[in-house]
Amino acid sequence: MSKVIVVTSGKGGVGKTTTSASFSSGLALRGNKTVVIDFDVGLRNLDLIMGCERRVVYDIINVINGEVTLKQALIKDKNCDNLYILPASQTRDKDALNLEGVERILNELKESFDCIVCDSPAGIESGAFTAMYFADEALVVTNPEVSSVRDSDRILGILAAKSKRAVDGLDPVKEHLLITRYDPKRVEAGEMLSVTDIQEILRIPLIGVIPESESVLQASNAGTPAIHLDKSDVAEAYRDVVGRFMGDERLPMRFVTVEKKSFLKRLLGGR
Amino acid sequence: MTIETDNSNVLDPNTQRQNPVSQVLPTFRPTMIINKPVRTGQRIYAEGSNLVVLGVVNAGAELIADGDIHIYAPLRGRAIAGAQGNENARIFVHSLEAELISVAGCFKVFENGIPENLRGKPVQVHLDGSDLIIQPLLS
Repeated sequence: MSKVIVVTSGKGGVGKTTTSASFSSGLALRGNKTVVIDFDVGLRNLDLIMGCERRVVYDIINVINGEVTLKQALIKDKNCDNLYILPASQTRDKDALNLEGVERILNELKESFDCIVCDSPAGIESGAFTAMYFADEALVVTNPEVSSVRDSDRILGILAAKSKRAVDGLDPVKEHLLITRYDPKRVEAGEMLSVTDIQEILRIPLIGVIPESESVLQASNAGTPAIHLDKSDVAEAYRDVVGRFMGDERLPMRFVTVEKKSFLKRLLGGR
Repeated sequence: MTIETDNSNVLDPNTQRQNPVSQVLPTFRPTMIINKPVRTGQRIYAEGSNLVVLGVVNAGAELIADGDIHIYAPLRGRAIAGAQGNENARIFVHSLEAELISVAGCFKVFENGIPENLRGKPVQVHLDGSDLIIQPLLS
């Protein structure tokens, strides 16, 4: 049974596309046939993060309009065998997406993929709505600051009231909280909301905490999803998220407390 | 609502139920019960009835009832009771962290935060003349 997973947040710049790229790569690495769809029509970014921008010929709007087949528009990922990317259009706007067209594409993808990851645009307008409407599960990406938490709260309200599952009276969309750009040091200093503060407000199960890291920016610029960065905290954290998503609930929550530096590390001046 | 049929203590089988004499029913609407979180941007209106909320009411959410409002969770958004002008309406909150509370059009915002003795406490809110009274509930 294939799953449609939306990566959403309400607020922009919190790490939706970074998460979509790493999460879908992680699913593919674990052997799931995965496709990741960029719903940010007009502000196409996912192809840059995945490093396939030069291979984009056709996009989701071409498929919706019936100009090309789905097979022609799908791009195979360079790092994972099981992963395909369906890019957004850069020259159109969000109105070019329509629910019927998206549903047709999703149904066709469900025939050959296990996981369909939808990278939602920011906001709560038609683009974000279309991305979440058909979701079975949702990764709600939140930064540890009040405006991001409030926007996530808004998105959760919309998921619970207006998604297809809600409208059809099926089981509700399964919600997962993913906290990104988390800095335990700043939490201890009282400058950032803690995991507990965020959970107290949003009250949905936590699937992972991604630490703030410089390597994310480097990975984005290099067109490699952060999960492929060997030995980085971010890659480990995303692997944990994928593990928990696949049902491994025993994984301990890492990167939520300040790491005590060993004597040797301090002596060598490592960061 | 379910009624247990085998509970014979409740009603003696020999007892005759008296049929209601008149058919005039009071204008009564059942309480609206919300058992999920009420999230920012959501508005719930219990028209002509009381409202009971079991989930958290987050900042930016709005509860409106023509009758009373009971919230058995933190209230961080707005609660407006007696929306049609019922001055006897009351608000009961398990943990007061609200942005705004109002009874029959008399409202209070907490610009400087909620007073220490009421913040995060169980309280009830009612109207005394034109004064909105917030009192801690007896524990």
